Amino acid sequence: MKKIFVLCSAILLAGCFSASSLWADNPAKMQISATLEKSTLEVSVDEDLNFGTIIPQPNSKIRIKIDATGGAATDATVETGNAAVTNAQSGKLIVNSGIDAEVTLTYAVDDDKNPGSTGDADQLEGETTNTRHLAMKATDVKNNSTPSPVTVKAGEDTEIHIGGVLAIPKIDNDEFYQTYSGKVTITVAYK
Amino acid sequence: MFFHHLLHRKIRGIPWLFIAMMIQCVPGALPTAQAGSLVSVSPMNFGRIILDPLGDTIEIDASSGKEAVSRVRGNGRSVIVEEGHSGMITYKCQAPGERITLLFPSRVEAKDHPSSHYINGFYTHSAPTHVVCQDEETIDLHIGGLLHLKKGQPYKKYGFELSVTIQSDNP
Repeated sequence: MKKIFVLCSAILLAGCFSASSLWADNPAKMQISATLEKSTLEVSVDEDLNFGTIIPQPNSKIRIKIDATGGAATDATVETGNAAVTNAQSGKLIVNSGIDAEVTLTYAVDDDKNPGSTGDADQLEGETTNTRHLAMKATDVKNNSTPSPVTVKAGEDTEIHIGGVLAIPKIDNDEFYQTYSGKVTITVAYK
Repeated sequence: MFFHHLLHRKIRGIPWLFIAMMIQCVPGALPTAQAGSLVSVSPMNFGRIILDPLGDTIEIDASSGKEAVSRVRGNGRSVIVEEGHSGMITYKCQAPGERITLLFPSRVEAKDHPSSHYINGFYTHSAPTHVVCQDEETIDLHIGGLLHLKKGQPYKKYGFELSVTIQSDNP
């Protein structure tokens, strides 16, 4: 009996010295924060789109085109009919983004007859006699401007060039000879 | 009465010596008596971020064991306008050979928006999670992670709480 007791005690004691392991769990709570800000996308008009001074051949339909798909344009071409065009230039927007991004461009030509229209009836209005109009379709603006989407770099100015096609009907009245104006609304958005 | 009884029994010295030694061993086997201790916890901050509207992942990689700053992961387009930094746990070792293991949750979610942004990757982005003390030293354990930012969430300051268990073991 004594031998068994001594043996068990020795085994337990050996375990005490050889296998005991101190361990403890320390819980810790760490606070973590992050502040998120919305990226700003600033757009400003640097140059207006201008078809210049046009001397059209009467009694013929004329189409004047400014092609800005490859960059700024400083002249226009006569697509249809016969006319002399001087001092034409493409329009220019400056876009600045808070982040590197791709932005999309959409166009609408303000039209008194069809507000918000982007169809065939988009027009510029005569400033002297507002019953006279020249057609400028939003689709032609889109097809002759900087192609969408556009890659912009954070904090850097990016130029967007705006072109278009101006359609002049057969001129059968001197009232047509005046200055025409309108607005193109360009919406720039993150893709 | 009990001691009186013991004194009058025919006891032999050797078994009682063993029992006394065994009793001496018991406190040493208890878990907390000689373990190190937590000194302080410094917060982790991912900084101020202009977020890509499509979302992004922000990384703090402190796996080298040193303090780390926040950066946009991969080809992310967000911009960090004010740099963030890793968090830090300072621990006081009790003895040489003490082994420290950090235990993290798999992810933590934003306090007020539990289904929006979350943080994970603590094991891969923090200081080595198994450390052996060289001395009775004070050690700094840097904590990083991956912040997953979803699109369509409010632009504001988000808070998270990370529960870390510091497990110490002294063989």
